[in-house]
Amino acid sequence: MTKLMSVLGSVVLMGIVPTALGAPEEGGTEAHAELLARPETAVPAMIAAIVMFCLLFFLLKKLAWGAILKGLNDRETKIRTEIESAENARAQATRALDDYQKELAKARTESSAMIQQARADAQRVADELRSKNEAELASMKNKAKEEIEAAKRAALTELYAQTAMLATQVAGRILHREIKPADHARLVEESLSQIGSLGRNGD
Amino acid sequence: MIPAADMAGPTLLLAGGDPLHHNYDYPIISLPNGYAILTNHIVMMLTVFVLMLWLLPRAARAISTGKTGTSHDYVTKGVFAHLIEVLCVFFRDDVAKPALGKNTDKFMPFLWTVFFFILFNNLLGMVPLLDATSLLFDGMINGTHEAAAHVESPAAGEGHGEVDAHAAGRDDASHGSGDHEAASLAGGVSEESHESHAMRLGPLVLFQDLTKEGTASHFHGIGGTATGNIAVTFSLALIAIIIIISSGIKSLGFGGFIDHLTLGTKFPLSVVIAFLECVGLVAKPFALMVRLFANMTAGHVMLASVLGFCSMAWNGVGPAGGIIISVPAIIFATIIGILEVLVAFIQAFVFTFLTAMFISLFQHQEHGHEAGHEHDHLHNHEYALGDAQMVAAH
Repeated sequence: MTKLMSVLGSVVLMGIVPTALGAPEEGGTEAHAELLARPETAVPAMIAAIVMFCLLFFLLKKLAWGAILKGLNDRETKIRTEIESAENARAQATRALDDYQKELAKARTESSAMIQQARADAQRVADELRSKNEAELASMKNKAKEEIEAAKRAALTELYAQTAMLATQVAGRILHREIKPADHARLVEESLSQIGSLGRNGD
Repeated sequence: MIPAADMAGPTLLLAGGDPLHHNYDYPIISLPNGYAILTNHIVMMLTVFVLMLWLLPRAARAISTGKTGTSHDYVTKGVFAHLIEVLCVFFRDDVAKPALGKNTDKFMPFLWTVFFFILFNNLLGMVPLLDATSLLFDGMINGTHEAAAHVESPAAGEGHGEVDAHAAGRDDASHGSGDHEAASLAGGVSEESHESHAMRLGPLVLFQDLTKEGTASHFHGIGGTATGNIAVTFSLALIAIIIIISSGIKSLGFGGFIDHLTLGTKFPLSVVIAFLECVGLVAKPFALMVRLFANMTAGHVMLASVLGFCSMAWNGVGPAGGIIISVPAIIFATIIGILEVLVAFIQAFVFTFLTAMFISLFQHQEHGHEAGHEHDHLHNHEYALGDAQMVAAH
């Protein structure tokens, strides 16, 4: 209430102060400048301005400003959502790129590991094959050697048997007659040639 | 009456005679008691009214979003709609929003109406309609009506046959307006003879000449700047202050509004503070009123004065001097004219901007009352300074 009184008091003061200070009277001395605000035209202009402004305000509020405000707000919302979705899309794309790069790096590591593994496997297989071949070759060589040795032994055994038989036959012939030095020499020579022929035949 | 009357063409005649000619609100149709019901500025406001109601809804349709569901819906169609949209967006986002915050959209229809009403009036005032209509119809209307006065006067038999229309008008002055009104209403025979030079439409008077007492007609052309009329700027400022105070009371409550005026001070001090605040409340719309009126008037006075040099020189030193003075005068007037277009925008902006600021002063702020008030006053002070500089620049 006190505040209301203060405001009312100040309004009264506003009327008094300019009067007390001697506010100049209204109206100029210029006859033509007076035309700028003659009541005959100023009052109608004032009323017309107020009426037209108010009418414009209400009509435009209905016909224009509502649509413009809605349009601006819609655009603002659209732009905001578009920016947000673009930012989301960008974040997703960045994430996808990161994932892709990680996958790529992993794939690279894996592929090089696989290549290494394959190379190692191939080497191992080759080594195994080589060693197996070498072992087989060695065993075949040994077998051949053994076979040669066996054949040699068999041949010698047969040679000895033949030699013994010939010696026996020669000894039998010798027992049937007296052996003279000339006969002896002849017998040995015959035996030797027989053995030699046997050896050639045995080959 | 005017030395430049010898000059051909009413434009130079009037510009040379009275630099305020473009700023007078000439009556077109007046009541018998002298009060106008249609004046030049009312015609201009009506034109603006029609233009705004024609153009802005069209622009609004182009700005509003479509319903096809594609992104094409959000595209504003047309250059004019773009222009309107740019101005609307600028006012909403850069002028009103920083001051009014979440209340912005509530006040935008009012602020936009203020801006466009003033802008359209300012720009329409730049169109030399007054001179064009004066050139076209001056001889036709004033000539025939004065000739008719010469013919009719002897028939009236009151001894005014040799007196021209202007002299008859001065004669009327001796009767005084009160007597004249009474006589006019009574339809006295003697008064009829005195008023024979006036153009009438039933009881209504056409083109009442305000420089003369009593009923007399003179056609000055139709046009002018409505916002260069202090009555119009007064009305706009009145509407602005009503909106400022009513929105303030609505936002703060009556008690809050009174509290705001006293800045929450105790009794003895509160009277002084409230007095100062009330002075501020009156000063705000007064500043709005005078600023717009003065800027619009000053521009036209300057244009008329500069162009007036042409007829002054012509009459004073003859055709050669007239041409020598006219060339720089016309170039200068053209430059002033371009500046005036800028001023038309600036003043429409300043009026709306300050109205938005003043509305925001009495809105409930989110921050503390004291701090908010001081902050607002600081802002207001800054803007007022900026505005003062801008006005001073003109």
